[in-house]
Amino acid sequence: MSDIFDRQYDVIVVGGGATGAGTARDCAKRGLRTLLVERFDFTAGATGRNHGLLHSGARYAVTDVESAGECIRENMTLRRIASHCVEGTGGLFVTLPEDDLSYKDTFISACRSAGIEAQEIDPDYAKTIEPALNKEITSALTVPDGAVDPFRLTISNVVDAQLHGASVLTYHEVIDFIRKGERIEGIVVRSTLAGRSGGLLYDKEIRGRIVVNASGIWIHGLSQKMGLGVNMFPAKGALLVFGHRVNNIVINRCRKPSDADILVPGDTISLIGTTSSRISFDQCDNLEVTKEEVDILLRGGAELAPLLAKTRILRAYAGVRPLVADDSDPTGRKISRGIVCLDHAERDGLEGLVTITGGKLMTYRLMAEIATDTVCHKLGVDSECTTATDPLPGSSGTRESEIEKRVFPMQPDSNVLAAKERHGSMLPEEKIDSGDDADLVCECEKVSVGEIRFAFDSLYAGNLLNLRRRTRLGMGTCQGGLCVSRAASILASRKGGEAAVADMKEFLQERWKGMIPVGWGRTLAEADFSSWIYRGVCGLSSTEGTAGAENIEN
Amino acid sequence: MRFDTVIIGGGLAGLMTGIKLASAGKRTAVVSKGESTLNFCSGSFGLLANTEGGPVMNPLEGIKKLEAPHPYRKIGYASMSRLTEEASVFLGSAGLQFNGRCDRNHFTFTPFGTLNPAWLTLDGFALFDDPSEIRDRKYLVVSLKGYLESYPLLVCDNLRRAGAECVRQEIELDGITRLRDLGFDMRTISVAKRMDRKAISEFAEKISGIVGEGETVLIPAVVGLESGDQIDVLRKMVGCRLFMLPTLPVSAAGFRMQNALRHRFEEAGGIIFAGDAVTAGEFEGSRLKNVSTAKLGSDRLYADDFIIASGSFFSEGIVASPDGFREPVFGLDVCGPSDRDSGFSKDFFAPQPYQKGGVRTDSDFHVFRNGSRVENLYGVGSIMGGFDSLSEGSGAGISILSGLYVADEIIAV
Amino acid sequence: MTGIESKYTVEGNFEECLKCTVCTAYCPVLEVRMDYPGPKAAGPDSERYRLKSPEFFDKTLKYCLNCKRCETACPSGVRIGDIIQAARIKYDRQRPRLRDRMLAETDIMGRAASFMAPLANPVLKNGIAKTALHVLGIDRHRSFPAYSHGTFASYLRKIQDCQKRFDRHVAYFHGCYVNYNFPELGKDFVRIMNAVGYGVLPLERQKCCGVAKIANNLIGRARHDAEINLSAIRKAVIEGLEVISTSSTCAFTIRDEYPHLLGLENADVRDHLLLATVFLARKAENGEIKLVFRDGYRKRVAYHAPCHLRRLGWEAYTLSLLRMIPGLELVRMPAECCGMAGTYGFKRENYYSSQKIGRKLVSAIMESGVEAVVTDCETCKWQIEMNTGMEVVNPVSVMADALDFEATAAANENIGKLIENKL
Repeated sequence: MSDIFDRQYDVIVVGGGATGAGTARDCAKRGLRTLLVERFDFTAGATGRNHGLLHSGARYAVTDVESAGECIRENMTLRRIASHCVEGTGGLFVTLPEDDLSYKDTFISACRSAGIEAQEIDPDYAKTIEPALNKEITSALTVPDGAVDPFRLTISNVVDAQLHGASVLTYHEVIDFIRKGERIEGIVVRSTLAGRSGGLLYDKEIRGRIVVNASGIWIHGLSQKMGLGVNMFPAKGALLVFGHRVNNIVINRCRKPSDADILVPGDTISLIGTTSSRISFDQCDNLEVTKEEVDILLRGGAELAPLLAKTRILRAYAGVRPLVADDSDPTGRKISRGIVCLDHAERDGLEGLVTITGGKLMTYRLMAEIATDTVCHKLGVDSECTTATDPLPGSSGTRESEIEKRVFPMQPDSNVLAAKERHGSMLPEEKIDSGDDADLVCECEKVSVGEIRFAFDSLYAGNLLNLRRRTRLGMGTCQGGLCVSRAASILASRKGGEAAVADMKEFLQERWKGMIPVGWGRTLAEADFSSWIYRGVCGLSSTEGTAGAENIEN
Repeated sequence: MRFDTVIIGGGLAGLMTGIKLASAGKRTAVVSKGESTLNFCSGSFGLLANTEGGPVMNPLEGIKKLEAPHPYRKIGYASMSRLTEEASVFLGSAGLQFNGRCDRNHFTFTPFGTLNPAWLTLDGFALFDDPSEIRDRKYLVVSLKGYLESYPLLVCDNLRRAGAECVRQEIELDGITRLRDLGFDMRTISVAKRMDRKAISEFAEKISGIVGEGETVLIPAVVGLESGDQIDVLRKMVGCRLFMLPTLPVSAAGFRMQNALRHRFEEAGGIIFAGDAVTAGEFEGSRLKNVSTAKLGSDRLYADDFIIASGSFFSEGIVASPDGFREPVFGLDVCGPSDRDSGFSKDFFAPQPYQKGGVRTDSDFHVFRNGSRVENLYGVGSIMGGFDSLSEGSGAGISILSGLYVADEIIAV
Repeated sequence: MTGIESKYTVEGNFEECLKCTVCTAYCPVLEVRMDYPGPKAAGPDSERYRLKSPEFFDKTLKYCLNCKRCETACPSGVRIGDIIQAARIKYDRQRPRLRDRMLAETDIMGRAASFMAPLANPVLKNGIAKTALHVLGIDRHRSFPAYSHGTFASYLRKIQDCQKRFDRHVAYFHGCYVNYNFPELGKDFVRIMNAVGYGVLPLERQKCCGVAKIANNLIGRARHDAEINLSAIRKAVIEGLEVISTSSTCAFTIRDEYPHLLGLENADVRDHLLLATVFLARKAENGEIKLVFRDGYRKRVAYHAPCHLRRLGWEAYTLSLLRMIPGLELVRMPAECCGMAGTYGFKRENYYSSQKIGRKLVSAIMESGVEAVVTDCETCKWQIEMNTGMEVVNPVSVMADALDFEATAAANENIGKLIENKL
């Protein structure tokens, strides 16, 4: 570890979301000595708190044709390079009786000019291909939407960055910059594990020729430290996770973007989102979903797919959209639509700092490319971007051929298949299909001992929250209530019993947070069962063990 | 069909009440929606371990510190000690040998190797009068290869922190290893079902081979599914102090308790409607006349007295909706936090106000409907509201004692 | 009025699962088949994955006995067994084998064999035939139940004139077993019903209930038969008749599997389809009928409650009826599955699992020292007979054996008709 702090880097990327990970990958692939720094865990911010929608761009076509065009191009790129993170479910835009039917034609022509294939289909046909649809729909269009797993996508970028020589540092917060006059020469980081799982408190300096700030909404605070005015606007969006796949095709409401108008099938669940409300910066680190937001989402969701009203809700969560002010607007109130890449040498006369923001999960790769181009230009490195053509780790070899190999003559073991879907070609089958490795830890999401070991060994998982993001452990019906103790037991062999118990409590605390806003019906019964197990049978209490993680990680 | 008493719910409360009533010659039926939470029991029952004033060592004395509407206050000090005696007798009659007393809590191991206070603990599990007894002991924590329901590392860590010496060993049982290659389900009950005489001999042999001088052996609770004798057999073969560590649901001890109580109830002449659910009741004035069930169609179950022991949220004795709680069968009056905002503590490990939600009962455990008392319908066990049995460590005690108390009332008439 | 009822009708019922895993503790297959994932994994857990992609359908689901013990165990009302069977119906693309069709087509096989019973019975017991069947996949240890010469249906037709003379009537769903193999049970039923004052009428038409076809994934055929049965039952119900069965499995299939697995609505008639023991117990308890038993009747029997009877929630009725017989000492067997599960145990690949599942029940019976075994299901009967060598009888036949018919008829003011009919 000390080695990481002492190295000299060409570029230090701050922020372990999709954009940061993508930038680190791009930089590393272009031969730069790269460090990726993340305050907590990868995907702990906005990247891990959205719809997981592989936008076709149609959603933006009417309001922002440029973004829409970027979306559809990146959509096609991700299908190629990130096949194990993407599911081409297709998408529908549907009109309900109370919606303005004329919006549809505006929408189709806007899609056309953005290069998005939007095709009108018979509403009855739409109902047969997606039985969950509201039977009242008056029009339906198909668009090339899909689902993308942001956790897998980000971690694949990190793995690839490291394969190309990048260093990775999680649980370190940038508390300051090393500044010499008008030049940034590096960063000062502080361990955020202090006081948790026996972590120590320390600050370290790390030197790099250029720092890329890809920290999303936290760009605001970091910029302020250097007296830079990058105006961010935190917009909170809440979502609900349903217990299973209610729909197999993305369902969008064909109207001006509004609350609760996108229902996305993601892995084993469906997600309805979102809401939108401005919040203050101090709220960004502690997002709570309100009763009102839950009600809005439930109402809107049931309008798209009435079945949702009867479907079990696993949890609620919220993320912050890192909206950024448009530099061209003197009032600083106007929000920039597209990708914003700021070379602060040009903008503010401060050398060695680049800020990348303003895009979307969908355009993370393009954002990374733009940021890396800027970095390369500043460093005088002449190197082509290859991230749009080279597949990510896990996506080499198509999934179809993987499955084909297995179906004949052998029936695929569904547990193995579930893991293969999560990790693609990254996870060798022999790591999960026999002996102890094949034993299931998380039964809801079919996560085996072998997959957990793989996540600990190869996917930068050091605690149970990391493990959840890497494998879906505890993301299913029981929300970890029946499996977190098994996972903790495996973790204990790596970091000791005390730390494992602290992690287990943190995990349960985090799950509980998402269940409170939807604490009724079977969701409450499940939480009650978990509290009976862990507080009652196992005797865990809040006064015992070490403190939980920072709220943002939850 | 006609009975003297119909009990809704076949868990600890329902069955203990049923056993008492059937033993007293009452024609008693239990309608049980499915297996109860008793299947998840760690092997110990709590009577009272905490009040809002702090930990309690003598549960009988501790009752005095409880708020007046608490079920224990309704039962009263005098009846409490008598009924706790009776509980042990009924449990014993079902072949369940428990240790412990009502005027002093003992301590038992949790699955993680820490200590929980308890009133009664099933044979085969360790008991300590005082937590300090662990100190300076030597433990051998035995785990089974491929069995993920025990936590040897956590146990060792906790034992060492409590001042004990501790080593751990994983062993492999040939019979089970052979099955594992074929895809054997390595969960508790499956393993416990394989613990026949031959497997126990092998288990004993393997333990004997590794146990050191003066060591107390702790094994996961996968022995004794059928009866406590199996543990005795294992102990004799190993020839040293040996205890089981509880496991998470479904536990072998819980499975055994559930089946033993059910069997005892039937033996005493009780009838069980298994896998059926009471869906509604016909009331006449302040009395419940009969109940209908999901399976019996147009037939009704008539009885002089009815007991609702259908549990809490898990068993859907109480159901929460976005707007509050309700008792779903009869729509009985409930108490507890009024809305979702006041129902939750953000700290998962803190007392949760929603857990106090349940049906309202009067001083004799009659329930209320539309504000008036139902003369022949009693609420017992965790369906009752107004107390937090998880924080108190009183769940099993309340289930058993409220049930036995109500049975007294019914028998007395 | 409550959330409880809706559970039994709403789709997506697998979401009720709290993952408590208690169903696995009560699954008889999980104990004997290492490759079977168990009810929780095969049912609600995997259902989430199957909804994502049919690739997640696991062929080992065919090892499910469909005993529904998981459902009886589930505290949350999850129809685990239905979820598993529905998944087989929906996703299993493997076509049923010849063997499966032979086992499933109980009607066709029964009609043919019953017609040629004197020939068919020795042939089916013959070693060469057994080897041939074994090759087809029917285990050589199994014997087909003997076929009767002449069907029960034709007998019932023959006695219709006198049955119609009763004031009150029931319709009888006799099923394949009574019809082709064991008309004696049907005759016992008729005698009892007549004694208590009911004439027994046939349904307009009846086909096999379809349990074997459902189990062998012949869903189209099962639905076809089920529709015929339902419309005949409906007609009888409209005429004011209760429809009675003497087989717990037939009753279970028509009442529960028709709506749950075949998608056939039966809510209008469901309550009127009853098992004979249920009908008799209810009437006797209400005092609507009187049962008088023979003085000298003494018997000690073991009672095994079939899984489907338990799932119907009717064990209490059979018990209560049998307990009305003063001379009958009833030894209740542990709530274990016999392992036969209809055609399941006939299949070569299931034979050993089937035998292993039944072991606990068989040894309990052997230890009980009874004279005979009583159970409501014919396939339980085959399994128990084969493994214990003991006589296994339907509760209806026990009643017939214990009843003093004349006194019963007299008590029900019905003696005149009995004499008139020379029954």
